[in-house]
Amino acid sequence: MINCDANASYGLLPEVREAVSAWSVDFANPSAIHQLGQRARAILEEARNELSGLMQLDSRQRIVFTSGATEALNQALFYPFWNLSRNQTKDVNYLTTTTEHPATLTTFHKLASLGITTNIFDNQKQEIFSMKSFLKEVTPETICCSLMFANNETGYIYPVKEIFTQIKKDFSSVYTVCDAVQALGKLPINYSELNADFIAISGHKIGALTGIGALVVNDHLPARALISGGPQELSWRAGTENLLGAYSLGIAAKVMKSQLSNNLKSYKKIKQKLIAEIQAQLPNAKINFEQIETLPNTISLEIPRIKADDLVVAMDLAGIAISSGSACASGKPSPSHVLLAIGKSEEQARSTIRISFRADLSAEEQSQLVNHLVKNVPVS
Amino acid sequence: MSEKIVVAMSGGVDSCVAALLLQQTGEDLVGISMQVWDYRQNGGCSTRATCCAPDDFTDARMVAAKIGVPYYVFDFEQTFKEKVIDNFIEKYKQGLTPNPCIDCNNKVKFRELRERATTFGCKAVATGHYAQIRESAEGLQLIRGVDDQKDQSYFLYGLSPAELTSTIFPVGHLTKPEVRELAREAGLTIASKPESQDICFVSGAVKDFIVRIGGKSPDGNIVDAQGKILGRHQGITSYTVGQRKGLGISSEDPLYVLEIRALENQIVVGSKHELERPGFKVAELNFVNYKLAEQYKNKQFPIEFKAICQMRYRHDGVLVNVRITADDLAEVLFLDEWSPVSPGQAAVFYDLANEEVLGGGRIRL
Repeated sequence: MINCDANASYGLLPEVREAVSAWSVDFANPSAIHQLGQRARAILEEARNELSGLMQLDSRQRIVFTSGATEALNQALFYPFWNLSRNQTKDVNYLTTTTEHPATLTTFHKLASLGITTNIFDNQKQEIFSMKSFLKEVTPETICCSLMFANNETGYIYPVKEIFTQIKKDFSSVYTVCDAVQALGKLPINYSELNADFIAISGHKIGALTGIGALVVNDHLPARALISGGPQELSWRAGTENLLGAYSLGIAAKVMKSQLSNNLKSYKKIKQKLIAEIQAQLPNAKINFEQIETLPNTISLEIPRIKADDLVVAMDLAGIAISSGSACASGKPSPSHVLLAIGKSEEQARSTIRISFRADLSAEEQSQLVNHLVKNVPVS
Repeated sequence: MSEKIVVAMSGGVDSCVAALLLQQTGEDLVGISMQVWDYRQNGGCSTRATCCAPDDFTDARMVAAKIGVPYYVFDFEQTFKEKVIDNFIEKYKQGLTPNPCIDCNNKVKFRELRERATTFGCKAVATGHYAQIRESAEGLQLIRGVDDQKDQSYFLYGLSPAELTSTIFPVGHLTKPEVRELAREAGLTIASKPESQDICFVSGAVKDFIVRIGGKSPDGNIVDAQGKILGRHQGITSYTVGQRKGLGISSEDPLYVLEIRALENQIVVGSKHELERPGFKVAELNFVNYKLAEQYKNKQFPIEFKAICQMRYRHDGVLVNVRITADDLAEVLFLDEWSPVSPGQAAVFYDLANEEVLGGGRIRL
């Protein structure tokens, strides 16, 4: 199988596969006093260091391992709510945008059902996100602002650093939350400069195992855990840590850091080549956000009059994984909320596919992708 | 691309075992569920055991993964709405009693699905219907399923002889208990799943569904055959010819719906013997028997034959004479006993052995 659906899951890095296969540590609880426990603890902290290195975190930021980015976002988004005193819920609001991942949007809906005013800002109908309009939505009543760094479906990059910096300047009490899942390992970002109180990331999006993720938290915040129990992870996340998962995340972070500059070059080269070939062979196809810089591994492609879902199936049967909108557990095909949010019609959304590739997509795989795409798009 | 087979998987035990059996013979399969109706948006209840409800897709996906078959959900909502639901409501408004399962088979499962399948290089469509396809000197024949209780050949008369060549019914030669046993042996958790019931997209009463989706039809008079007003009805879509219960009129002899007059907005009722007719007409004809299909296509009228006519699902069938003298209209006469005639329902003709589906159409008065 050729993985051109890397934004859904990157697939294990060879180094991670090797390290995980060779895993020979006696299982131990990292909180235990004995030396088995200490060894496990060392592995956990090593993984934390590697991730911190990739993200260029500073000493004011702590990494809390979670089961994934969804849990991390739930933890982060509930935090401001828990810090409210009784009867305060009516007077405050939360802010995000329509193009966020369901992990954020559904949590917003849940918060709304608990009495929070949620502002899910819709200013992208003209495709380009206006930072100025977004900032106007921040009021003295705003207690939380959540913004993704890069969109999983379109690859659109949001000016998180500029927005959070401005918000912190104007309203220092707003909790800032960044979903950095898609940006990690694909963009050169210093995550200590985002002015984010919380940053959520996912292991399997950078080549580690599934079931492991992390929430980067601002050190000055007192811990309040979504999952209650023991005092693990400095009381931010109860439950014995996922040792093998964290280990795989550490390895992936280390590899991603060492390969970042090379990967960025590969991504750029592959993306240019794919776009050129697609445009030459499918002149009707429209690359979304072609004129601006998007995630270097992501191509959102609208091919008029095709049924994207059918194309995904045909490509799959030919051995190539692509997607049409974000993966959905129920499998019910419905048009992508992100594409509708950026002003696409339902028909356009149903004709849009996403190609998201790994940095090691070979030249042979690139030609196969284009060839099968051309073969399976009906001549119009 | 190799010659693949599409297997329609509803998530029920029949279609899952159909996939299992084909997979065991080494066929290259693609499993597909058809999303036909949005239960959440249309007030249906997805906890009920029906075919095609989204919950069932989880089962289909699980089974496909277990037996190693690639599996996809296809969106057929638009087609289903246009070709099945709209027609269902329209027919009720015309005072008819439609059978949406037949439209679904004819226009969605064996047409649209087949078309989509072809684009993926699939040569045939397999389903979990209890029906069989038999080879004979005159070509392929559509035969009742072995299990009398489950036979679904009635719903399949709309197939063409050509379509039989690329259709597979892997469980038609089995009984339902045998199918469940196969599922159990293979360790499929759906082995003991309850039967799907009624019409898949309707939860609760059909008349409520029609009001909800199609709007309420106006109240009107219930009259007898002479036109005398006996009472009021609550909209013609709530009635079916032959219906006895729920008329709300007291009478010495039980009253039956004899006729639904959509134009006059009247329901005509009378005693049981008034229901009796010498025969009826059948339109929207289709023949699946090769010979009859040829004759019909070549307009070799009159076409005349005797048949066992099944007039609704789970009807035993009655001996009839069928005579076709012009395009798309068959005159059917009861030869032995009569049976209530519900316009809109399918009349399906079987051979005199009551095994082979010859063809069928929609009942008219």
